Amino acid sequence: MIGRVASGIYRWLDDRLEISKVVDFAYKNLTKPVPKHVNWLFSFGTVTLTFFTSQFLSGLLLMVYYEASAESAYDSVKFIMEKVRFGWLVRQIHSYGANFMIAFLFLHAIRVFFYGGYKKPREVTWLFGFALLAVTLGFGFTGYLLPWDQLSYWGTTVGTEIAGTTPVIGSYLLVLLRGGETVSEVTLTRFFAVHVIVLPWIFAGLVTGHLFLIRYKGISPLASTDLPEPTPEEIKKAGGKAFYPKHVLKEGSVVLLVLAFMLLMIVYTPLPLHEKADPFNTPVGVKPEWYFLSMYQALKYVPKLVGILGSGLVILALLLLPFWERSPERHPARRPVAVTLGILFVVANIALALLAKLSETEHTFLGTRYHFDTYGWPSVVADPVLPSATEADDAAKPEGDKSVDASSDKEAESSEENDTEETKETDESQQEKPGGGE
Amino acid sequence: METPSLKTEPQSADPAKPTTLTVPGRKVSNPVRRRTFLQRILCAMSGFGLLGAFYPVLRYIEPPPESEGANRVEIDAAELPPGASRTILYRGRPAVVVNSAQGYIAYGGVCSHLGCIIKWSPAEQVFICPCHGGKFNVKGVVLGGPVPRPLTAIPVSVAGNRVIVGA
Repeated sequence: MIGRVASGIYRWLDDRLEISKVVDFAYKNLTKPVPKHVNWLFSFGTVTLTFFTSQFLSGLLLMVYYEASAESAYDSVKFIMEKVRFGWLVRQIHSYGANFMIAFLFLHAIRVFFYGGYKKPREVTWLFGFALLAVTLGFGFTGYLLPWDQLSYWGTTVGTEIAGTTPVIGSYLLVLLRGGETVSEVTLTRFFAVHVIVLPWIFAGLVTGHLFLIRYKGISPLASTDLPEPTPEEIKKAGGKAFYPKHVLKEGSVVLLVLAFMLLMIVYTPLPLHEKADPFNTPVGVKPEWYFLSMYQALKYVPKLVGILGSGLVILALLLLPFWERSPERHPARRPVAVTLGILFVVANIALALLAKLSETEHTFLGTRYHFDTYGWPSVVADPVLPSATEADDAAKPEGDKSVDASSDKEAESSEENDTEETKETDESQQEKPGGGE
Repeated sequence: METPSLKTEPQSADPAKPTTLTVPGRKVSNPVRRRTFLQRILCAMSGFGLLGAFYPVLRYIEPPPESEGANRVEIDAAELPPGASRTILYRGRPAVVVNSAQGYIAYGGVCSHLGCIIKWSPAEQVFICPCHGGKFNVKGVVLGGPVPRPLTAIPVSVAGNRVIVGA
């Protein structure tokens, strides 16, 4: 019955608009075979796209109640989480979704690197993807401020400060980003506008281009770029399976698994909303979001200018990867140097991020308490419970008091202090974890 | 493995497919093939899943429970001298409280015609809708205008110097 009505409508439309041409084209593309080597690792892109869709929808819902002003932003987020039915779920999906989206974008990029997917003739697809990465990080950065809690406020302060160290244009960029000297309501409203209007449109354009190119050029083969690209018939003959339904099912399964995992995390470890932003009181242990941690840590080991220029060069090198890494081989086994460098790069980033996470904290390993300095190097804490007389006489106050004591009359002082010096923590639980962002 | 068709072509379009099937005891024409059956099950399950996702969305956009407003509003009697009126928010909607010649009265302030807010006219001792000239007496009964229904009365009581609107 439904089938007959549907085909009747289809025929009616086809009579008038010749939609069968479009449908045939779409169908042909949908069933285009993907190469045999395409496994479940090739679903990270789809997972990322799913999260983008989910971010779009949950963001739309959040906008129903969210108010972008310093006065009411925090309360409106609190209202969503506490009063609106399923508001907690929508907000958690948006906050967690942001993290998952970035994580899977990284995994997708790493997968493309190791399978040589960026090589000729798919350089433009890589450029689009790189732009998408930049826009996504922009989403993360602008969205992080919107809940207007302590962590988002100070995370944004530190983040914009880093952007402000860019040579030549740094101070201009800083004021432009913040809309003034400090992070304020002006910053909030411009971040909001960029987050909900500017970036989504740019993203939509880029993702359209990216997807079109993927369908147009097909999934990259594993053979050398010197060989001609295989035709769909050749791919099929070599054991390739149709994109629909074979690969779609695989991707669908991965998407569902990841979504289920995210829901588990939402239920068992919901991301907190911290105290309302207080521009006069910096909390202890402000660090950027995890995806900026490795860069944040790397900047500590070298002079600021070197660090900024260095990371700029690394980013540029990654952007232009297809243009300087020109060996014709795609198969990872035939690119030992590139693969080794790639692994080193990934490992170095993870290591730096871990060091950043550990820095300025204290942890107990095997009964010994260690303090990790700003560089992440451990030193044994002599007596963690009772500070010795000399330590107490030290200029540094016991750190537990610092966060409590930082009252508004000392604000300028204490905010500077906490930003620059190593602030110890007596208890791991005291550290406010980044991640309350949008 | 064959690729299943997305099109809604009749199954007999494929000459390889059987159009009749013999089940012990009877003949079935145009049988539903296993792949088609599984596809339909998958579609139905995805459909139900999507429908399930709509539930929280619909609940989310409904007015949150606490935004319906107070169902008991107290006013200082001094703020409401004889003949005066006040428009307050009662259960999330405007209500008009009047210290009338007959004592304190309160009505839902929304005109049943097109939703404008009524006003108390002390001179005439009537409620007037400024939009289309609806008129109500102190009992909320329609006196004139295009109004379909009378005003909804809200219970009012007095405790000391407090006027309490609502139960």
